[in-house]
Amino acid sequence: MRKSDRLVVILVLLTATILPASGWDFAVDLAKSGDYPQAAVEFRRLAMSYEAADERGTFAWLAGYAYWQASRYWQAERMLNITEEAAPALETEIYLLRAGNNRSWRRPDEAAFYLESLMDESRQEPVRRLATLQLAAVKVETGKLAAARDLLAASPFDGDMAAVTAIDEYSQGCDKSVVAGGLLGLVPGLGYAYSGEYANALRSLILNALCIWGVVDFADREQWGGVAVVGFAGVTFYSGSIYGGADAAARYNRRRLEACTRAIEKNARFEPDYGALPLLDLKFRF
Amino acid sequence: MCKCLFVFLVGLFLTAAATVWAGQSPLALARELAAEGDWAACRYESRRVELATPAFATQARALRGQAERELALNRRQKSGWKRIGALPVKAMVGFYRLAVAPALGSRCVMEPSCSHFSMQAARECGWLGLPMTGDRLIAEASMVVARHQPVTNAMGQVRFADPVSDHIGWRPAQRLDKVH
Repeated sequence: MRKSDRLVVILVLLTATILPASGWDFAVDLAKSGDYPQAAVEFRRLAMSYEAADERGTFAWLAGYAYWQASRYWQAERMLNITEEAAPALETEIYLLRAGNNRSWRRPDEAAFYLESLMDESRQEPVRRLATLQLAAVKVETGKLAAARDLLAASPFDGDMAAVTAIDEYSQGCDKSVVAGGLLGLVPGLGYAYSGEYANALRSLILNALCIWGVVDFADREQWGGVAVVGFAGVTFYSGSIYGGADAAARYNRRRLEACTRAIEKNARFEPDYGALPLLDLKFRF
Repeated sequence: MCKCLFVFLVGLFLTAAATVWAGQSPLALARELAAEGDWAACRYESRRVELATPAFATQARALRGQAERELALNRRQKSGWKRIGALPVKAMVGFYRLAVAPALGSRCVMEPSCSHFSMQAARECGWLGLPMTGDRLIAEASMVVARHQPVTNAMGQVRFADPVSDHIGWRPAQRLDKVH
């Protein structure tokens, strides 16, 4: 081989080494370290750089997954549209992510539609089981407790009956009204007490009482600087008591709902197996 | 030597031409992000193209400039009344950070700390930052006792997460259809 030909071969090899250097390792590393918006951009770049439709679909799906984790639901939907066009064979993966994305986006009807599609007999067992649990949780989130209970009671999978008990317990309680919490908060501490946060109620009462006493005492002594400082603290704590009354009611409702959905789902989730790239393979955990 | 350089350059040209012909301009992603209104990512992407692909540097610079203008415009639109409403909280936290925090040190066990929480709340919700700060100061001790959402920060210290997002966008009370 002539010297110039050898150089050509070396340059071609060098180019081949440089060009794929921007592989998926960086994107995966960003996703694993929790920098989801950046990971999504990197996956999108990969999706655009691949000619093969399957790989383009895989990376578009991963971009959608990263956007979902970054709470950018609109962009996640857009990525899933691209995935659907490029790789329709990834239907199960697309539906799973669409369901999760719509649920986080507070669009329970759309999420339920995709989850019902995934409960088809033709799907694999882990997919059907995850869909059943998530659909039950979505129904609980929308207040359809009887439907959720029936769904789990009819489930062929072992262990789902424990979730039925959780729904029964949730059904026995009732939510607190956010408006009532806020209105009761006009009396310092009462808003917190309404939602069962008695320590916060006592603290709110003491702080507000101290501030009022401080303002009156400073005003008696005609120390207006003190009145301004303690008055500002008083306004902060008093408005905090009103806001806190409403917030405590919302917190109570959220925790009650979360306890029930957690008992149903038991940490069941799916995640991509980055080791299988450029193939899209999902790992299920129950 | 000249021959191999010629082959190399022709190869590079053909690759670039094929890429452009296939509609895959290096700026395609940045343009998509701009169309989606994700200006922060667009700025990052156009900066990357500007540095990595000198042939597209001028277009990338123009797009980055547009992204920066849009981001500045968004900041201004977000402000206005919200910014005025946030002033008392910002003044209070500013005074605390200037005169009190240096003596106390970093002691807050919440994530974000109370002063960061107040600033974030003021930025996102304007005047509502004041009651949110009051609520946080009242409820902080209970959150620590309950040990809700423990997280480990960059220094390896255990903190209790209570982000601003947990206090906004309340879900209304549910009307439940009872289980028989």
